[in-house]
Amino acid sequence: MLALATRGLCDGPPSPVTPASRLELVKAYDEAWRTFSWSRHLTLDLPYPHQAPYVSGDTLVLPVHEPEVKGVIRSFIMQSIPSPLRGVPGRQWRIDFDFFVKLFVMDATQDLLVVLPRHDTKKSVSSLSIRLPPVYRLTRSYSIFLFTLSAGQPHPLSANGGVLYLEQSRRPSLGNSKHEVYGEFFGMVTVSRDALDDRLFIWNWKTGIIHVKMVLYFCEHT
Amino acid sequence: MSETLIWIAQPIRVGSGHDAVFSFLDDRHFVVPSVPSERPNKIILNVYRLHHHHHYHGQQQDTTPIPVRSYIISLADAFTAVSSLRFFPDVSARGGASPGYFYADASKREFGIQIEATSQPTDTVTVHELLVPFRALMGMAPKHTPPPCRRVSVCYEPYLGRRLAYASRLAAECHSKVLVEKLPPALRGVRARQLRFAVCCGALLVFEVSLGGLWYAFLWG
Repeated sequence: MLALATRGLCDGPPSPVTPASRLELVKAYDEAWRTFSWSRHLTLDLPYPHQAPYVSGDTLVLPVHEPEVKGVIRSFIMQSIPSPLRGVPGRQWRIDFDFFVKLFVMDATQDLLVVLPRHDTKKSVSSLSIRLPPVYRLTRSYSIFLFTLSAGQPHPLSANGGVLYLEQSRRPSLGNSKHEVYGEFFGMVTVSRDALDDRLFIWNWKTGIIHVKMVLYFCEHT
Repeated sequence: MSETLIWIAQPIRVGSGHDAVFSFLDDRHFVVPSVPSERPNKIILNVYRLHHHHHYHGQQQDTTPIPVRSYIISLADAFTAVSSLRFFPDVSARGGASPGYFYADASKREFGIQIEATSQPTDTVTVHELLVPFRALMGMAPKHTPPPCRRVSVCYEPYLGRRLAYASRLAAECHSKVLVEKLPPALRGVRARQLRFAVCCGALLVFEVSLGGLWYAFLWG
């Protein structure tokens, strides 16, 4: 444990690999970093628009944009980074949706991909294995979908069948540091169709319950 | 620039031209930054507690949580206005993330704050980056005790962008130390200025820049 702590590391979950073997692996890992010598590497193609991947846990996430149409996303390529020394197998997989994605957030450590569909899409979300409530079809209020990152299916830990709901008058704010997942909580900054205010909503994504509704910015009309 | 953090109490108010942003600190706290209009070169970090037992039903009125802690980051007087602020994550750099036989100790993470501010003498917008250890924002620090906060220089890398800002800075040393023969064969003929390095997910990532974008990433872990 001391050897791990001095290197800023934590011990992983129990496995057949003994503490003595782990210590040897930690030393080898250190040496690999010191000399930039690894036993293997992999190559990842970065699709259009050829941007840096998103990162969560040990997984790189590449949103796949429609050909020559930046910002229109319907698929994701995931690549978990292999590390023989850390006992992490590599894997690449792809998730395809039949709707366009407005924004997404992921937490690979919880196998969670949070997705908001675009409302202007002609593709519906009806073919998903999620029973959408009438409010979604009638009001076009925003629904937030909770999928597994590993398979693109409704997340089994979501009590609401993989859906959170946003108030009808609100819409998600886009940009950096405006939506995030941590543990059981998913937070999102929203703007209003009717008023100049920004509000932060925080849900427990497992229960579907809203824990925070908070005005962050309010511009009074004069 | 001074990075003194001072304990203060401020109402929630975001200055003009400043986006509303937030970030979780852990599964019990989140932080909301604000810039007071009367002091546009100050950044207030209000830390709020997430109450697991409080929740909203139906059309219940919004309430404003009370910050449990507040800090202020003072920029130099020359900076007249903070125009943009965003947080960026420590992506478990060299040690990787769970699971694995071992992984990076998340409690040692740093909280990255990227700020765009206007400099009065030159009327130009410059980017600044501050790193605050998460622990410094989590503990009940005595009043006026400034938690450690360090400024880091930012060389904005348009290809890696803000998502990998932290990771690319950690890789700065790799750029000069990785010898050509250590690179995969496909990269050995590529000019050094076409390579970009990042350290994240317990791996070293090397990107090849070509035709205005990143086309390939090579990963070691």
